[in-house]
Amino acid sequence: MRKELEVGVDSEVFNPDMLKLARDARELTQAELAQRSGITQAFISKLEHGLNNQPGEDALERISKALGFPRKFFFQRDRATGLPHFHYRKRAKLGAKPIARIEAVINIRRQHIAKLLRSYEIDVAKPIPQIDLDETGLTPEKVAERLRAYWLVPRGPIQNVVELIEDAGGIVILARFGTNLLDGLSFRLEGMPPLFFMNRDVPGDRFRFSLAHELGHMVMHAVPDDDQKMEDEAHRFAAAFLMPAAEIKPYLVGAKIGTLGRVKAYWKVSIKSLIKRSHDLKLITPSQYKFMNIQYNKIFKGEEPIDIPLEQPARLSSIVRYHREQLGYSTDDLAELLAFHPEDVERVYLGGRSGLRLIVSN
Amino acid sequence: MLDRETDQNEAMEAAAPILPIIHRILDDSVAFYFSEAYSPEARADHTDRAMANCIYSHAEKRMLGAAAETTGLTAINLKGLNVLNFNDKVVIRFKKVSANGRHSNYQTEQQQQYDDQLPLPGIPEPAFRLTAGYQMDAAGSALERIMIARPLGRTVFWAAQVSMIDGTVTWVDITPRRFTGTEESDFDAERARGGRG
Repeated sequence: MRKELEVGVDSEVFNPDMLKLARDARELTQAELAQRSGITQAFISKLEHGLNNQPGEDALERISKALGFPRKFFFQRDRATGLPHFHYRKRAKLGAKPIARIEAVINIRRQHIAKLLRSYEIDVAKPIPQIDLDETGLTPEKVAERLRAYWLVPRGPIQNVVELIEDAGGIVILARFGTNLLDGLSFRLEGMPPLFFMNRDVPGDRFRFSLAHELGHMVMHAVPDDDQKMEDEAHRFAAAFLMPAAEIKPYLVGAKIGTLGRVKAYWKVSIKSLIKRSHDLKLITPSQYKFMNIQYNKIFKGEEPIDIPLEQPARLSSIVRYHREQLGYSTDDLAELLAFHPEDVERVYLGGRSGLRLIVSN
Repeated sequence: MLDRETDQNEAMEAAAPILPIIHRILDDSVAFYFSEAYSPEARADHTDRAMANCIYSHAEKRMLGAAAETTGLTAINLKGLNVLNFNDKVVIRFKKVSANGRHSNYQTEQQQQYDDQLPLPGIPEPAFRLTAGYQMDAAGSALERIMIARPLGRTVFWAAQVSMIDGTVTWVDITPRRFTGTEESDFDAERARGGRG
C-alpha cells in the first residue's frame, strides 16, 4: 500500500504515473480527457499504461493544456503514493472518483513539499511520538493524557491544535476536497515529516476534532489494524486530547443544551461532541443522551451556533517564504521547481486570490 | 371587559415612547455579557442562572441610568423588585424569559404579586404591569429576541416581540398559540381570580 518515496528528479522520460495523477486531479475519465485534448482515448490509454512513452510534442502540448499542468510535470520521476486508507476521516461513503481526485491532489502537494524540504530543515524538540497500544497496554485516553503532558499542554482547552502539531514537526495543509464527506487524512512517509491534509470547508470546531483524530492515528497506528477499531481509538484519543475527563467534567455536570453553547465557545469543540463526551463520561444516562440528541437535531438541524475560527497552519507558508526571502526564489523559480504553473504557485502558495485551493474544479 | 388584543394594543401604545430605551437596555446588557468584558472561560463557568444574574445586573444599571435622564421615567425599588415606571401608565420589570414570554425562576412574594397583577404598595394603579424579557438562543450563546409580556400568574396574557430596525422600534404579537382562546377572556376577571396554578 505504501510505496517508497522517490522525490522527483526531472528526466526526459515521460512518466505515465504523472499523467494518471493529473487526470485524477481534474477528475476526468480517459474519454473526457480525449475529448478535451482532441487525442484518441486509445492513445491516452497506452500512454498511461506505459505502452507508449513518447507522446510527441503536439500530443504533449494538448494534454498539458487540457489538464492545466506544465509539460515538465509529466517528466517528473515521482510515483504516486498509495495513501493509507485507515487514516481517512470519512464521514460517509465517498465515491471512488472523488477519492481518486483527492488522492491525486494530495500526491501533488506531497511532491511539492518534498521538493521544498530539500532546502529547508525543520528543527523539532519534541516530535509526534509513536505509541503502540498493544505493547504499552495504554488506552487511547491515557495516550492523549501522556501526549498533553509530554508537550507541556496547559490544563483546559487547547488553544491551537495546528500549532501543537506543527511545533512537533508535522505539516498541516488546508485543502479543498470538494466534499464534506472527508474531513482529513494523514500519513508518514520515509524522509518526510508527518503530513496532515485537512478539509478547509468544515466548521472550525469540527476541523479541530478531525485534526486531533488524525493526530491519534499518527501516534497510535503505525501498523494497520481493524478499520473500525482504529477509528474508535482515534475518536477516543481526540475526545480525551481536546476534553480531558477531569477538566471537562465540571462543565458537563448538569449541562443542558442551553448552557453548552458557552462551553463550546470556551473549549472550542462542538456541542455535539460535548453531548457525546457527557455520555462517554457517564455524566448522563443513555436515555438522557438519546433525548439530548433528539433535542439537538430538532434545534440545530445540522448547523450549530457559535463559529469557532478555522485554525491556520503556518509551517508550509514559512517554508515557501524561506525560499522566497532567504533563497531568492521568484514565482517562476518556484513554478519550475514544483512543475506547476506560475499562476497556480501564486494562488496556492503565495496567498493569491483563492487561497490554498490546489485544483480548479472542472 | 378587556380582551387580549385591546389590552395589548393599549399597553404597547402607552409604552411606545420608552420601547427604544427598553430595547437598548436589554440589547446592550446581553451584548456586554458576551463582550470581552467576560472571558469565554468565565461564561463557560456560568450556569443559566449565573448568566441571567449578570445580565440582570447590567440591565439594572442601565435602567437606573435611563430613569435618571428620561423625563417621565422613574425607577421603583420594592424590596429587591426593581421596576421602571413611565408616567404611572406603564410599569416594567426586566427578566430573562423563554420563547413563550414566561420566566421560570423562584419568585419573591413581591414578584409573585407583580405577576399576579395584584395591588402592590408603591406600584401605581391602574398602570399596565409588564415584563420586558430577553430570550436567549437555544445554545444560550446569543440574544434571540426581546419581548414585552403581560404576566398573569404563572402564564402570560399576551406577548409582543420588539425589534429595532434602522433606529425604529416595531412590535408584533407573538402570544403563544396555546394561550389563544384568551382573546375572549376578560383580563380583569382573570386578574381577580388571581390564581397561580
